[in-house]
Amino acid sequence: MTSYVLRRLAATVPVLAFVGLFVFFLLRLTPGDPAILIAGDQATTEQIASIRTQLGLDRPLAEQLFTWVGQLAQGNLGRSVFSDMEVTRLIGMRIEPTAMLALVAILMALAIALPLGTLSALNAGSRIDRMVMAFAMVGFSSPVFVVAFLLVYVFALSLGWFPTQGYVPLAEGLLPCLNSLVLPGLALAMLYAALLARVTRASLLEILAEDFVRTAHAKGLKPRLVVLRHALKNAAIPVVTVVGVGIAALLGGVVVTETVFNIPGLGRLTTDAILRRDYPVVQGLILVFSLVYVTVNLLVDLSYVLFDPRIRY
Amino acid sequence: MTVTGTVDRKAPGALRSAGSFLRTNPTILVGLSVLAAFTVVALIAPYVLPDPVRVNPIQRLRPPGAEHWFGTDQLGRSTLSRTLNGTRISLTIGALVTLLTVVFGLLIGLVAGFVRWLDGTVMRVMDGLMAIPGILLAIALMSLFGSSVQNVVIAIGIAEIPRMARVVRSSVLVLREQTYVEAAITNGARLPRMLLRHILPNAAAPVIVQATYVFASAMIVESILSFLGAGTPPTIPSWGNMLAEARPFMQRAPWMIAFPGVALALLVLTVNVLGDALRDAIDPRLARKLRV
Repeated sequence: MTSYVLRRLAATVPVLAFVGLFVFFLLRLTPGDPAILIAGDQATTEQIASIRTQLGLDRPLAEQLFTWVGQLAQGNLGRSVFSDMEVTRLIGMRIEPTAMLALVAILMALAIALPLGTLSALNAGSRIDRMVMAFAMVGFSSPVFVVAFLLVYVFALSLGWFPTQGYVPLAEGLLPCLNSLVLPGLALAMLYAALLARVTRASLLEILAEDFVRTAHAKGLKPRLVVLRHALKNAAIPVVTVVGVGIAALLGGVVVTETVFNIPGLGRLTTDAILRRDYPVVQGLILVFSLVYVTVNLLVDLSYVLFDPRIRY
Repeated sequence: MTVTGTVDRKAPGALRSAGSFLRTNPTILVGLSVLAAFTVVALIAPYVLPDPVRVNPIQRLRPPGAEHWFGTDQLGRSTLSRTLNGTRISLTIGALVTLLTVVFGLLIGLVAGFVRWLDGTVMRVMDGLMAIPGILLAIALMSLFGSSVQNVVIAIGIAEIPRMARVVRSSVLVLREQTYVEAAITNGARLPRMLLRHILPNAAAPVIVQATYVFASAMIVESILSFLGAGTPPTIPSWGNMLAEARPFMQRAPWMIAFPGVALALLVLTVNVLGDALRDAIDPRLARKLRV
């Protein structure tokens, strides 16, 4: 187990190193002067020059790379061009809303997808199955901001049940915080839920055809217990895998959702940083998002042991 | 003479088999028809509808009615004309991204699958690209490239290529162990001929299925980029731009959001349904398993 974890950890190093290099070279190898690009159209020569020294763009490329790697190793992501704050601090301040939003969205997606996928698999070919799968298809195809607009129009503007936008920090209480996340969470969960419902159904159908399920039925176990105790647990691995893969879509959706709902999280920071050409912040955010993606998928791989004791690392 | 003879004999057969394929797969027929309808709309919209960028301040924010079927926006532009013209932009970007992804995906996948010593390096690079969430990667690229249709296509393409390369590579790895490929090598078939005759036709199915998903995803990502202000230039009436402009008027003029939003979801839905149906038709084993 330990050796597997270490090997698996080691395998993430080249991936993250690549992301780091990619982010480094992206700015430097783009045609044109990156300092002018960051400074924008209305900048004076002095402003451009100061950005150039601030980012070290006047040094030789090899030296820049060396400094960049050295700083990264110390967890230093540089300073924001716009606000002159450390990128790590800027990111740290914005983590809570995004983490809460992502958590709420994942839980909502699981709460929607697992029952629907199971229902669908147990009634394969029936009208219920077709309805659930059609719903999944629509959810899978609807862009996150279209869903968001629909939810806001119905539940915030027309019915007035939830706020149209904004985020209530956790410090002001769990319930107000959750209340502010219902609509954004649901909008973000839709795509994820659709994906998970489809995988749950497919995986469960495969398991239900296995011999041990027939045996469980034959020995007189209640059908509900057969599904809950035998089938679902064995169907879990593909579902958990998709939870991991879907994190990429979720993180992309966070950027959009936070912009629509005006939530001051990492996604909003991304959009703002891009519109302000605050490149050190964009670089830092890409690294952080990739790190989250890689870490979640590492955890997913390790969690297989929980569902299938035959798997040994 | 011989040439035309062959073609004459072949064409009806190919047509007939395509016809019977569609008859046994009604979903694909319906999907293709809806897609064709969207394409027709995209092609004729500029000629039959008023200019989508013509401003008419007197007629601003009019609700849908007899005069303006889809209503008008905050500058008095026709939402009908803008929505239908937006179809062309979405379809164009979807098609170009798909083309780019298929070409480079095939190239990279074939190289990784055939050239052993390059495989590890190439696929690590692909893994690295895949570790960056696609939308984020496209946004970052757009922030450097600047907004234009061409750059949107390249940015989304770069985010989609790794997955396609993976699909191609895994098919190649299976195919190159097949007896008929080994036989072709033993018979002295050269690499280009082997690729064209044996590998590509057999790798086509998964590539086509993946391509439909790329097409759908490209249209969504384009709309997201435009919505965030990092996509097509704001002067172009793409659906994402329309939705971004409509946002402040959500309460007063919901039709400004409804029409482009529904059009986008409908088009993406069509392509995704088509992709699923193609996958089921191409891989009956999987389809049986999923339907039971």
